[in-house]
Amino acid sequence: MSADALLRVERLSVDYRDGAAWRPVLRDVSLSIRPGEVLGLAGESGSGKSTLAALLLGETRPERRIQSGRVWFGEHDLFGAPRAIVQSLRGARIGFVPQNGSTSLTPTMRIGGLFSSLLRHHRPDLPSRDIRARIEQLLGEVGIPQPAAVRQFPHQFSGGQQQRIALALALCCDPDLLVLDEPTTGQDALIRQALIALLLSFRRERALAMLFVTHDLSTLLQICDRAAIMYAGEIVEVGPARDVIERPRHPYTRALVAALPGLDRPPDARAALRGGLDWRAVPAGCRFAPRCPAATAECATLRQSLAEVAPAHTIACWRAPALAEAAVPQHDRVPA
Amino acid sequence: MSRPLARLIGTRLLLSLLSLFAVSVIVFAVMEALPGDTAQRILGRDATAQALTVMRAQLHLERPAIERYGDWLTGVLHGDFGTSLVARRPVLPYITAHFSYSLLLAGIALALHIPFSVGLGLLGAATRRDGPIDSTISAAALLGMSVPEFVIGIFLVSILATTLGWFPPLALIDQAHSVPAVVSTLFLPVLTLNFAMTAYVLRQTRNAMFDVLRSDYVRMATLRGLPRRHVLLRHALPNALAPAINAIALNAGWLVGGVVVVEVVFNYPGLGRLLVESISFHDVPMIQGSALVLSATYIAINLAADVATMLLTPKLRVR
Amino acid sequence: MARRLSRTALFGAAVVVVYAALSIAAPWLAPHAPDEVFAGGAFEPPSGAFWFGTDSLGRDVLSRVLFGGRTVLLMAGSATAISVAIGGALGMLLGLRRGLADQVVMRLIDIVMSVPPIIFALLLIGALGPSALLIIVVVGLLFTPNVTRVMRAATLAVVGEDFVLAARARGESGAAIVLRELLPNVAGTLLIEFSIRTGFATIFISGLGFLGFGAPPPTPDWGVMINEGRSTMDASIWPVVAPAVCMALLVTSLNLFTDGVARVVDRAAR
Repeated sequence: MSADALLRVERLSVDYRDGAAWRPVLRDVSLSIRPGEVLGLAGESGSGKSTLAALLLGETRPERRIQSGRVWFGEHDLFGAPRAIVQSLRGARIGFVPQNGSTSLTPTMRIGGLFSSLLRHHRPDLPSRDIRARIEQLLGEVGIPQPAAVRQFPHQFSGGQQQRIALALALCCDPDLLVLDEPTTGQDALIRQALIALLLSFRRERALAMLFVTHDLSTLLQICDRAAIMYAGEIVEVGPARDVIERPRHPYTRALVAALPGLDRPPDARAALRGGLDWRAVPAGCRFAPRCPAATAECATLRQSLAEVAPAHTIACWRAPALAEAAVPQHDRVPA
Repeated sequence: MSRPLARLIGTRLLLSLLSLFAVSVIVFAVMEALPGDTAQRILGRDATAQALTVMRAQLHLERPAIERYGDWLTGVLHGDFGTSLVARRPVLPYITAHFSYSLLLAGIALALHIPFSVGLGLLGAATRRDGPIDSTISAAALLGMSVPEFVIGIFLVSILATTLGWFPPLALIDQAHSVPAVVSTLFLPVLTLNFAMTAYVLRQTRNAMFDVLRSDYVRMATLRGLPRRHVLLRHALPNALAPAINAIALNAGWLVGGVVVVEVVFNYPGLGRLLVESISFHDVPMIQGSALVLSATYIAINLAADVATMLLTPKLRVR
Repeated sequence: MARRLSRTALFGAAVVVVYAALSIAAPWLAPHAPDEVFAGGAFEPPSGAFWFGTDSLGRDVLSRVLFGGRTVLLMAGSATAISVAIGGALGMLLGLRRGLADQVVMRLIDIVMSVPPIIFALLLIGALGPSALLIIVVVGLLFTPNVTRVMRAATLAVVGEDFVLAARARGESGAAIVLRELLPNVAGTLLIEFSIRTGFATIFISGLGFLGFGAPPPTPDWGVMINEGRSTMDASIWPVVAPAVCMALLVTSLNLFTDGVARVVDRAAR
């Protein structure tokens, strides 16, 4: 973990209440984001990535508890600091863009009211005129037609527009870090591209750091500097985005990448994973073992941890070196 | 007001007028136009031949029902509700007098229960769900809804009036001439009505508030850094109010019926009691007049409630 | 579903079942006939012979309460059954068909619902004379529009355009669609409606009895009992308290059960 990291997650383990029992949703997760850096977080449904995203805002819920570990934003411990401090960070220094933009907007408030209440709270020094100007500018940047929009209600906008309004709300107080929870999932391709272009331009202009949660690897490649792959609540591979996706080392990452449709070939059905994530069948050792095509008997008992295999590129698979020299994935029959 | 909204309200108004007309037909038909011998039906099996003849003459039963309905309706539109068969005097003044007493009772009950029930509902939702305060309030609400208002009324009378003597057992408001006397007379009937109404609105408000507190937009408001009180007041509360207001509107409608029972329990000279009495006396014009006015009130209340809901729902106000 | 119901809901259901059992067994359980008069025994306090004492005419209050409960459950249950059967079928059909018939019927329902229920019941019963059958039919019809609305809304929530199209494409008839596809999905709402209407019906019918429009004597009726006993509460409170407490207990239990079912249905819908 570098000392100048903007955000640091230190060995975070979180449980989730399932009826009367607690089951783990995050295990020993560590990652960091430097100022201006975009980290992609990918994994399938149930991997815990949305939970992690919410935790980066210090969100506490009665059905969740932190077993161990910390989340640092700058010098603040998000779960140790007083609530007032965490509240002051939210919105002002850490922004959140939810998956579903539509339901994130209060139905009874006009758009302008949503923005101004945020600005008045986080920037009480700003005079009204400046607030209005800022709202107009932001809405213009995300492509929402002016000036009628400020007086309108959320339901009067399309789904895509609502998502962009949610994005603008997350940015309106100039945060240093933006956490986006699958912002492009469920949108059609055109809207998705527009959103990505928007994010890229914001990133350029404001040196914005981001955590971009997604299950779509191709989107991740377009926007992220680094990529972290999650499986069953653990990080299994972290490294430069290009590296991770074009030369995946961890068997899970390989399977994910193999499943990507290329423009010139269909997804490789033979590389597809068997079944889905079954939390009850997760062994004490490598959690991916039950579905791993390269698993051995020992995998189920050996605890995995991240180890460096290339500069700034770590993976949690003890068999990685052996696999790298073994048979190359079917779809890539190119000599090394 | 936007065009679509105006059109919506206009349609609703039209529907109400139609309903009013239909109600007048129903009220008349049930009393005077059901198949069979009307006079016999009204007076019962052991009516004397003479009584039957008198009734037939009074109601002009020899004329076709449509004509009689037309006459009655025309009269009503001109303010002539006919003549009471029992009191031999015009029906309208009776109805007006009794109606104003019912309005007084219902109006006060409705007004008082709103702040009380909404407040309790919000209180229950603000505390931990199913915690001690919430559970107590919920239990009390459940009881209030499950016990019929006449039972509540009778017990209130028995305990507070007959045994303790704090209030008069009969709400003879026409004999109350000072403000303290009026308050004392109205207290128990209003309290009785409030039990059932408060319970209902309370539950609706509490449930709505819980739903809203779990919503995505409330969660996001908090994650955007807004302070808790602001989130509760500006983001949560307005969205929980719609079901609450809907519940209050339903209560207002319910009052038209609830007031009948309570007036009988307390012998309160309202329109409900008048209706019940005139039915037992077979006073047809009085029955029809009372039923029509009560139904018209019900229709008006429902109309007002629907329009209020329309005005309060942003989705319908614009575009 | 019984497994997912809360304890209070199960308690409510149990109480209702006990009521039903007692009602059915009333002719054998009751120590005396409900209208049997015991000479010289008016307003007797509770004793071994008369658990709740006697009323103004010297009749056993306990027996009257037991038989009264029978009457109440029978009338309220039948009225509710009518309203749920008709309203449920109509509501589901309207939700499936939509179109012109739907609009027309819903407007008709709006108009019919413009008459305050008690007024309508009083008018009809006053005009036709009180009888148990009339009360059941009237109350059943009065509740039908509301049930129709709720079931229609529930159907609309479950059914999309494609749902019906897909079923039709499989060659299923309207009735088959309703029974096989729709019913399981709206069964929860139907159950809630049944439970909550029974409670309302109990209150409503007792209210009619109280006002003097209930089933004619000698049928024992809780509302009638309460009305008869209320002016003589200083002589004995039991003729009023016994039926009142029983009624409160029954309706509260029904409401508890309804709440429990509503929570389960709500959670399943999330």
